[in-house]
Amino acid sequence: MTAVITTERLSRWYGQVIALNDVSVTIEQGIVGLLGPNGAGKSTFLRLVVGLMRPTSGALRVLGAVPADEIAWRRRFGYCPEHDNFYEDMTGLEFVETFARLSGFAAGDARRAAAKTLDRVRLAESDYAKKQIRQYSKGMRQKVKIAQALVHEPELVVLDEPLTGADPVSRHEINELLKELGRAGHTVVVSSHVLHEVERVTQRFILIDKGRLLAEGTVGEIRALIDKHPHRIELSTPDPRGLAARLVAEPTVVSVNITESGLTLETREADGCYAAIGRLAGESGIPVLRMVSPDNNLDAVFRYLTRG
Amino acid sequence: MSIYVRRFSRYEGKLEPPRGRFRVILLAELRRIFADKWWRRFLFGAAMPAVMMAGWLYLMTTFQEATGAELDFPFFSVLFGWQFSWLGIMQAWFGASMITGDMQTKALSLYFTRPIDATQYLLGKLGATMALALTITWIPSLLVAVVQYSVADHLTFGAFAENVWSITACSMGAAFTTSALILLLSSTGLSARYVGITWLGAFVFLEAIRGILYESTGRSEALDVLSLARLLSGSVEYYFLGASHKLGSVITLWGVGALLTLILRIRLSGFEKARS
Repeated sequence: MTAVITTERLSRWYGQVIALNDVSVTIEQGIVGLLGPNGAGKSTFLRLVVGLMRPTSGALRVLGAVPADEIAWRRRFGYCPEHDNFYEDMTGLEFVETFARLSGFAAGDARRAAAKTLDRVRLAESDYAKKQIRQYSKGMRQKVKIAQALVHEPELVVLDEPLTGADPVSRHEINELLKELGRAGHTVVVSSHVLHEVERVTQRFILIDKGRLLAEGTVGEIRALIDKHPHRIELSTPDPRGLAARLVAEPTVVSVNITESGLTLETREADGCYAAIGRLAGESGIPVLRMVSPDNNLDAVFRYLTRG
Repeated sequence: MSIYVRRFSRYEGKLEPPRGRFRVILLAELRRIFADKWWRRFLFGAAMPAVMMAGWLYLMTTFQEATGAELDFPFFSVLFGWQFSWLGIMQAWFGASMITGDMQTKALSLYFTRPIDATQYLLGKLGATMALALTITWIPSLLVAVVQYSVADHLTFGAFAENVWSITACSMGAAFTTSALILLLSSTGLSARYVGITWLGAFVFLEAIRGILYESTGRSEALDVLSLARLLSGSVEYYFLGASHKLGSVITLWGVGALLTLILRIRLSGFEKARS
């Protein structure tokens, strides 16, 4: 698959403060979540990607170009910044139309494209597209901001915290829109500090903290690389002691604890352990009513990566 | 692993040339300002001197025999004196927010992720600010010139055309230089209020400095370069009162405007690439 964004030892300093430190990453087509706590360097990374900044050191290529150098290239991406307190006097339609025209659309085409995009972000139906942005809720502001990033049908869509402040309905609609963009073949880079939100949209992540790249890949891939913390699996069964006695003999199992509702085991080889549980349950006839992995999610992975 | 096939289609209509995209910013700014009720009120106030002068012209020509009033009164220089005062206030009030608004709301990042460069952005903002300035200098003066031509029997078309030229040149010089200066101040990132206050304060301060130096250095007219007010009034004297020795003021006015625009261009280029 073709790399859309490639960085090599990318660093960005603000005076004496380092915002991004030696980041080497390749982003391919599809949806990618850029995750990290506030101040991790996510916005800096995105601003470098869209050419609003030059790297202090390192190399960056986006869609085959060096972002800050080529003005015409800017038509190929859409950027939705985190901030949204601008153009309060404009209507949503005027706002999106203005940015379509700045992308080079002729007046009539810009109007049509703006109306179509506002419809796509589900803002047209509420008639709010014709009201001033100052009257919009936070969710509507996010949508109109996303609409301006999409109006010119860019190949790459860069969204900085698009879900911040949005109500649950708007969050759902934005998430659905992001999935739709991915299905349509756009490359979407979406940043967030709320991990589970992005997990609903994609399984591919880049995790950064304090300007450093922590990990990249799917949750499973990243989790598998964290050897230091054994993988926990919780089982519900009517005979926890019986199942535990069989499981401790398995080489993939590190420890077994009996709890009120069943048992919790730890393993360094999750796939092998899941297979063993199924096999032992079948052989012993002890039913497994429920099996969950409480730390096989982004929050846990991120916690392990940042706290050691 | 997913397979991603591009199903969206890029815009295939005709793209407008990049060099004309400043018009989008210009029109968006004008639409924003003209939608402001305070601008409309301001415009009403700024039109008053021209309306009064047109009325005075009409009355004087209608009742000339009864009053014996002279039409040779240099009313364009008086009118521009008034309009330049309105221009100063206009720039402090409306021009001050032109760039600082984009900086404070971080809207600059939206502009500079579009295929426009700092020059297009500058032309859009400068064009909008100049258009506002011309609305209160060029248009009212032109209306007075038309009224004058229609009521004053002795005024030839040649004299009218000369007036129109003088009005245009005088208005353009003032609009260009004051717009470049307020935009440069606006690009400092201060709030619009502080930019406006700085602008008005700079007028008073530079006028005072010029006055002190003027008295202490043998009344040199070269000191006019320190005072935008003096350059503007020198420009009026040159165009409307035939003061040819004020040509220096006209050249300096345009030169200062060009220099400020160049500095602003360099400054905006820095924002575009965020090299700092």
